[in-house]
Amino acid sequence: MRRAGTILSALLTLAGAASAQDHDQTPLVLLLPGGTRALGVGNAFVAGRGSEVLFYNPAQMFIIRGTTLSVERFGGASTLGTLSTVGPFGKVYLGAGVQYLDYHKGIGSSFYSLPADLTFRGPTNASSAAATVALAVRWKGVRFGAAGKYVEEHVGDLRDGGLAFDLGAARDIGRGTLGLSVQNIGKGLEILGQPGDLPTRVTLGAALPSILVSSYFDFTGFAAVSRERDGRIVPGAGVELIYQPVEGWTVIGRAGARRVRDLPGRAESPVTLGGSFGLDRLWLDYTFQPYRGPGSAHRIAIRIQ
Amino acid sequence: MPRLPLVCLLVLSACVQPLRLARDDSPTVLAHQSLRAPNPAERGSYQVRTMYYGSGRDKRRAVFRDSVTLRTQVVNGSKFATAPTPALGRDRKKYWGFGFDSLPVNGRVWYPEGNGPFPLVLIVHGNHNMKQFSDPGYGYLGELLASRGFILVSVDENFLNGNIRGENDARGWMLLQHLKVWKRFNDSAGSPFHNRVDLGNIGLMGHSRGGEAVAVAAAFNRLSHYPDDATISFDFKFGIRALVAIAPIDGQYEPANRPTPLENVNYLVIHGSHDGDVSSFSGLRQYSRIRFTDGQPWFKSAVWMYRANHGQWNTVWGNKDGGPASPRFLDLRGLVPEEAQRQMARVYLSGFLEATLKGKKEYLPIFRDHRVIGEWLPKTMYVTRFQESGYHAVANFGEDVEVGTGSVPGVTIAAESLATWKEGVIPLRWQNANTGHYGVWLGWNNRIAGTDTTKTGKAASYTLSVGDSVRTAWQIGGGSALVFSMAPTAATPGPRAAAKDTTKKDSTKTAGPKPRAPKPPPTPKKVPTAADSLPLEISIEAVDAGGTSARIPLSRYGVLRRPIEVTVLRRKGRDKSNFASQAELIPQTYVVPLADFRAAAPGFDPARIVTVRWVFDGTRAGTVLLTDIGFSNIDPAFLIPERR
Repeated sequence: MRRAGTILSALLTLAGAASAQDHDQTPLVLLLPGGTRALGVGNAFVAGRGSEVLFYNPAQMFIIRGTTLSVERFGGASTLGTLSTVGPFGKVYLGAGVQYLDYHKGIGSSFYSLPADLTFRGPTNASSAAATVALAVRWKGVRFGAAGKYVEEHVGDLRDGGLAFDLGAARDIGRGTLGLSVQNIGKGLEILGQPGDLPTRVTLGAALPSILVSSYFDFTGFAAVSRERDGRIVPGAGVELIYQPVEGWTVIGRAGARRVRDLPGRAESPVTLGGSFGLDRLWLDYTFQPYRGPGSAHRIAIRIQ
Repeated sequence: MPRLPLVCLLVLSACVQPLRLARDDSPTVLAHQSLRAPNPAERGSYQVRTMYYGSGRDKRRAVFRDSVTLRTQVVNGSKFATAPTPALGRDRKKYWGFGFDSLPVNGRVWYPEGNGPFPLVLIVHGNHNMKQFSDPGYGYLGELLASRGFILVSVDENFLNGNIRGENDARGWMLLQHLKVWKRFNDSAGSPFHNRVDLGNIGLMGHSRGGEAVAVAAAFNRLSHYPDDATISFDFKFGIRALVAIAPIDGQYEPANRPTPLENVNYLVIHGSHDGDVSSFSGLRQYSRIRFTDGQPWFKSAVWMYRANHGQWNTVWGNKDGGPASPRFLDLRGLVPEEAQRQMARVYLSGFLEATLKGKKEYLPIFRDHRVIGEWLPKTMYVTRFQESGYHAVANFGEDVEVGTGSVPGVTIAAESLATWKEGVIPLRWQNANTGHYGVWLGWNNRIAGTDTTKTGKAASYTLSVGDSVRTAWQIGGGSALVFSMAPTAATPGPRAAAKDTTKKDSTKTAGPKPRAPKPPPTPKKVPTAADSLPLEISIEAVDAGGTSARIPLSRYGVLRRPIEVTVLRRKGRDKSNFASQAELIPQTYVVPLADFRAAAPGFDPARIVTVRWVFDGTRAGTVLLTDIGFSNIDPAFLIPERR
C-alpha cells in the first residue's frame, strides 16, 4: 500500500513537472473525451469498459473485445471522429484507435486551441489527430497496459507531429474496478516556433459494481480524478441507470459532471447527458454536452461488443 | 417523434416470447381420486418442536451461534472441496470465518413430541447465493413431516455455495457427518434424542446440487474408502432407505470419474418443466442407474410436473431461478403458484417417506401412476416413471445393436409396417446430453400414399415374443404385470407406399416400346394445419401359447400425451437456440396387469403369454419412444385397490 502511494505521488509529480513552463497544450484531440459513453459519465472512464477505454487506460482493454465508431459535432463548426477496436491475441489483448478532429481556428495569439473554442468557426482550417496502438496483459490479477501513439496538429499550412505514450493498470476490487493511467508522455509539439506541451495527465478512477435496483433496473457509477500537466485537478463522475426489459435489450440513461476550463465568453458545460440502446452485441450511444457560447456538442457512437 | 416510443415498444414486444402453455388435460387425467388413504400432505397428530444444533460459534449464522441446543464438532472437508483460486478461498474464509478444513455441522430440526423412535430425514439445499441462506426454505416440509412422526433436519451447507465447482462429494459427505452426529445424539444418555431416533430408517432429501449429493451420500455410505483419495477411509453404514432428489443435477461430481452407481434404495426424483436453472430432467440419469439386486422390496419413481420451476420447492429461493434479475431472461408467467408447487412436494415427499420409512404401503400407488391421486395434486400435467424390484427387463435396448432381440435370451422382436424402427440413447432437452438410457423409436403411418386420403392399410405393430424359459424363470402368471414406458415424439412419418400387387404380370418387362406413363395427378396444395394436440391411441395385444389373444387400449393406463413444448426463456427464439429440443422426452410408465388381458378375453392364460404386441391402430400416424419393457411380479400394493 505504501509502495502504491509512492508510485502514485511520483506519477503526479511527472504530470505536473512541466506546469511551471506554462505552455499551451496540444494536440487538441487529446484534450477531448475519447468516448461517447465516457463523455456521458463526466469523462470518468479510466476504469470503464469497451473499446473506447483504449483512449483512457490501455490496461482496461483486457476486459472486453469490441469496436466503436463515433462522431461528434460541435455546433456547426467542428467535427470529431474516432474509431477504436480491441480484441484478444493469444494471452494478450491488442487495440488500435484513431481520433481525428476537424476544426476552424479562431484568431488569437496562440496556435493552440482549447475544447471550449470548438463551437466557434474561425477563419483557419485546422485539424488534430492521434493514431494509437496498445497492448494489455494480466499479471497476478492486475491488468497492465501500454499504448503508443502518433499525434499531429495542423493549423493552416503548418503542422507538427510526434510520439506519445500511455501506461495503465487496473484491478478488480470486489465487483468494482480501480484504474490508474498516465497518458500522453512524450515530447511536445512546436508550430512555427511556438512550443506546445503534450497534455500529460495522471488519472485514478473507479467503476462501481452494478447494483440491482429492481428486476429490470441496474445502477452503476464511475468516478475519476486527474492531475493535468498544468497542475489542475480535474474531478469527474457519472452514473448510469440501466433498464433491461428482456435479455439482450438494454436501454441506458446516463449523466455526468466534470470540471471544465471556464474561459471568457465560452466554456464547455460541466454537465453531460446521454443514453444508449443495446441489442445483443450492437449498441448505439448518444451524449449531449451544452456549451456556453454558440452551439452545443452532440456525439453518437455505434459499437459492437 | 412521439411515435418513436411506440415503435420501440412494438419491436420490443416482438422480441418477447408470447406466453405459450400446452392444453391442460388435468380436468380429465386428474378427474378421480382412486386412492383411499389419508392425504399425506395433511398435518399429522404430533406436536411439532424445533431446535438447532451446530458449532455454536458461527460468524454468519446467528441461530447456529446463539440458539444451538446441541453442540457439534467441526469437520475437515478440505479433501472434498476447494476454492477455485487461493484468492477466492481467502475471500470465502474471510466471509464465513472458517475454511474447508473446519466445516460446521449445523442443522435446524423439526421433530415430533413423543418417545419415538422416529425415522430421521435430512434435507439439504443446493447451490444458491451463499449469502442468502437456503436452509430455512424447507420449513413447510419440516412442520408437515414432524407432525407426521418424522425428525426432519434441514442441513446447512451454505458454506459450500457460491463460486465453487465439483464439490458435490463434499455436500454428500457432509450429510454423512450429520448422520454421525445423529447417531451420537441417539446413543448418548444425556441427549434429548436418546433412543428416539430410528437409525434403521433414514431418508435423505436434496434439492438441485443437493439432489445429487443425496445419491453421493448413499453411495459413500456403503464404501470403505473415498474413491478419489483412498487414504480417506469410510465407515458409515447407516440405514439409508429412502432418497429424494428435487430438481437435481447429475454428474457434477463423479466418483472415480464414473457416474454415481446406486443400488437397493428407494428413490424418488421430481422435476419441473419450467426449471430455469437445471433446465433438463437430469435426475433421470440417476434414476436409470439405480439397480435392485438384493431381492428386497425397493422402488424408484420419477415425476415430472408441468409449469413447476426450480426454486419454488424452497421458500427462500422462490420463483426466480436465475436470481433477482430473472424476469429479464426467464419467462415466469407460466409457473404454477408457489403454494401449488409446494403442495405437490408435500404429497409426493410425505407419501414417499410414509411408504418407505414407515411401511405405509397404501401410498405406493402414487409412485406408479399419478392419476390415482387426482384430488390431492395441483391441477396441472404430470409424467411418472416407475420401476420396482419385482421388475424383470425383457427389452431395455441398451445391451447390443441387434434390434431383433431383447435383453435376455429367448426374447425376439419383430415389426410390421413401421416407417421408423431404430434404437438409440434417449436424449435430454439440453444440447449434447442424454439420459444414459436407451429406447426404440417406432414410427408409423397407416395411410396409403395416393390421392385417396381415406385409404389405410393394416395397422402397424411392434411385437415382442418371450420363450418358455423366460416365463418359467420369472414365474409370470395372473398376478404379474406387463410394464413399459412410452413417450410420443413430434415426428410424423409420411404415408406408406402401396403394397405391390404381385399377382399381376409385370407389363414393363414385355418387349416393344415402353408405354408412356400416365400423367400424375397434380399434387394437392398443402394446407397448413395446427399441430394435433390430441393424445395418441394405441392398443396392447397379448397372445398366449394357445393362440388366444386379448387386446386392450393403452389409454386405460394413462394418457399417451404428445410432446409438450416448454418455453423457459423470455427472449423469443432463445429456447430454440439454447436447447436441443423444446420438449423433454420423458417416457410415461404403464403397468398393465396381465389379469386385465384375461378380463378382456376370458380364455387368455397369463401364465402362458408368448407375445405382446403394440398395435398402432388408434392414431393414423405418429412416432413413439418405447423403453424399459418387462414383466413384473409386482407387489399388489402398488396397484389401486380395485385393480388388485
